[in-house]
Amino acid sequence: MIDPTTTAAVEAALQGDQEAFADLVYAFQDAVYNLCYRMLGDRGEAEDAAQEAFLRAYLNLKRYDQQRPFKTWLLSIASNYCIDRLRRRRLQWLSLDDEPDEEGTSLSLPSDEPEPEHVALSREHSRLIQSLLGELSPDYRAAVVLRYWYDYSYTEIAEMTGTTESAVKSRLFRARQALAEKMDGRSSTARLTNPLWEGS
Amino acid sequence: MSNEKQRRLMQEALDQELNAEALHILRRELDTNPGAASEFARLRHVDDLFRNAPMERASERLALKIMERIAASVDTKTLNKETRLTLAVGVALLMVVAVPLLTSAIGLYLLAAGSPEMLAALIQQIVSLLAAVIAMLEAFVRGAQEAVRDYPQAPALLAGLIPVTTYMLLRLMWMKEYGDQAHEAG
Repeated sequence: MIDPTTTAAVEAALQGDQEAFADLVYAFQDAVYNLCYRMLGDRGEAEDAAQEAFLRAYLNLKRYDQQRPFKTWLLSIASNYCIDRLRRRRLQWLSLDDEPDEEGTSLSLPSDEPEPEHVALSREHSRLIQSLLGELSPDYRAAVVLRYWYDYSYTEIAEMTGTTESAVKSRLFRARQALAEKMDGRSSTARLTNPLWEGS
Repeated sequence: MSNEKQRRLMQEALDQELNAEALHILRRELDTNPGAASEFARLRHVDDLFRNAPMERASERLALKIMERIAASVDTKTLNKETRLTLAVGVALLMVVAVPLLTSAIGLYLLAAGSPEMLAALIQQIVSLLAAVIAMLEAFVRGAQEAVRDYPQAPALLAGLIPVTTYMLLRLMWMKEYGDQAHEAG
């Protein structure tokens, strides 16, 4: 669905109105940041990737097809950038011959601040998901994030990631299987300490 | 039911894309096949976990950082454009000076190769021309010296004209800029 406010802002930005583009940034920054964070697993890197995605969108705004939702176009830029970044990161790790800490410092450091229970549970949930996502390959991760956080269809995910619908289906299924295996492996140790695992 | 079909049905069930008939087939399969039921329960658990995943919010300063980065990029782009333009003008000026010089040098070389007498005549003409220019400059300086001698206040008057002229030029430039902005604003 095309939002007329977004279309008007895009048209104004195309005329060189930076404030109109700032409106787009405010409207979609959470969506882009969440995608980058879920893909990269590190808040600092996610911020940097979100900035890069918006910059690329701004510089390539003339190429944007206004028949498609702006958010979809923007998220496809962000997801492709994150996939490239993950691949480069993997190459760097391989060259260093050093295994990374997938959870990242921002996820593994415990907070000293007191938190209400639901906030603490939500954070724990988020960390658990992030650590599971971190074990998927970039392409599988992108398919899972676009499916679960943005509710895109197989066709839309295929268009956004430049692949086929059947490949997306296959990636999602294999990703779910891999995630189930990881959860099986963790549940035996985590069940006793983490309330999120109760009843699993 | 084949494993492939079973997988496809489970996948589509999780994504809520199964029609009633296919859903019925899957339910029957899960009722009669404990292995498939266990597999589906595991996948369902993953699905539930991710379906309820929280959305991470961007920091309050992110939008500002993005706009700063865009502004910096646009500035660099403009600067690059100006640098390219300056370079192009520089090359053009160099060509304007270099091409006649090169042509003259080639001409002189050809003349020298063909006729030494003609080359000597040409050099003599150039020297005469330079002498005439020097004589003119000397006459101008002499005239200025005489004017200063006759009117001692002339240098002070000229020195006073410099700030006035500068002010007039700046004012003219400011008016032009203001006029352009007013025109752009419509």
